[in-house]
Amino acid sequence: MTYNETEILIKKYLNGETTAEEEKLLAREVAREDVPDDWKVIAGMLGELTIDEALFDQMMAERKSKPRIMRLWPWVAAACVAAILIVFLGPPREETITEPQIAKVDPKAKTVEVKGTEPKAIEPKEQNISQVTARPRQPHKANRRANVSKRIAKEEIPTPRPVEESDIVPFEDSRMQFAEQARSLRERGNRVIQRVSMNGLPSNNYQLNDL
Amino acid sequence: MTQDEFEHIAPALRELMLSVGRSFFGNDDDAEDVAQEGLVALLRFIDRMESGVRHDALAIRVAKHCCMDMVRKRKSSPILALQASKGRAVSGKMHGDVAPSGCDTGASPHEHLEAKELYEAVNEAVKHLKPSERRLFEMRQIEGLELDDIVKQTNIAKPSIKSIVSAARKKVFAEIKERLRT
Repeated sequence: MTYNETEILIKKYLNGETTAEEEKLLAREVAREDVPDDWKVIAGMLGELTIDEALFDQMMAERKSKPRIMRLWPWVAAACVAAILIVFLGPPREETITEPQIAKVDPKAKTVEVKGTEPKAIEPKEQNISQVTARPRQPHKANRRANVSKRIAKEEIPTPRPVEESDIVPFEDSRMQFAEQARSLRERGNRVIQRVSMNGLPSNNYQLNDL
Repeated sequence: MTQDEFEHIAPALRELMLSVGRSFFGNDDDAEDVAQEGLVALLRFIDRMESGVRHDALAIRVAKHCCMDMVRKRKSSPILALQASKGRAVSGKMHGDVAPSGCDTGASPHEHLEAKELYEAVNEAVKHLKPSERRLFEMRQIEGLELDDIVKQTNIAKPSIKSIVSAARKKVFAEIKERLRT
């Protein structure tokens, strides 16, 4: 409290307008050493009981506030250690989430699936022909493609067996799953390249060859 | 209040003082001392205590005063301070008894004399007040009652209490200043 604030509180006290709490505050101020004589008179009027009560309450408040700060540190430290342990020693997130959802498809079913899907992409003859007529810049290539598609359509394509739930085997390891998927993609690409080269078309897809 | 009446309420007041002493010192021995000294102080004040009224607030104030008094004595007496530190080590609960700012633990004889003069001047000035003023002044200063509590006990309206207390305080303040000048 400043000097002026204390003076205001003294006036309030003499007018009988102070509360018990304000009188305690005033008691703490006027009980200090080296205060003006008027303040000493006020201290005498407030009496030992009020001054000691104010000092008692102040000491108890200080005691209560100190241990709280000290006791918080172990909890903060424990929380930090727990957070670090969770971040660095916890299980990887990928395994826990992806493992039960991803399934491995039986290789037999896959070959059937590949055979079944490929012709579908090439099947529409009329559409290709119309594309050929619409593109005057590459007439030779377009005609060749149309011939190839005609030949493929003539081949007998076995009806694909639908994939059943029993065919789906879950992977135990995500790395194995990735390797298997990469391998199947590579095989599919090779088959496409082989088929295209068999049909007399050059394979310009170097990305597939690299795989 | 008669002595019989005081003896009737003394056990309850003692318990209150014990709890104040325990919360402050953290051990039963010091709390017993606080309760003992507090009851003696209240016994001296018995003629001013009204019968049929609760004196819990006064008992707590006196107990707090006794606690601070014991701290001052220990601070000024190295032997008592040593004993207190031994007690703290045994109990393990007692907090540091550092005298708060404003406590004149190392007061010189001159300061003691000044404090005594001031105390006597206040007592004399209070004696010169009217009975109604003196009663309300003491209820506020000594018992530490709030205005609402005084209204309940006296059935006097709040504004009247404020004006009476204000007049009493101004009279006492003026008289003490006059006495200290001479």
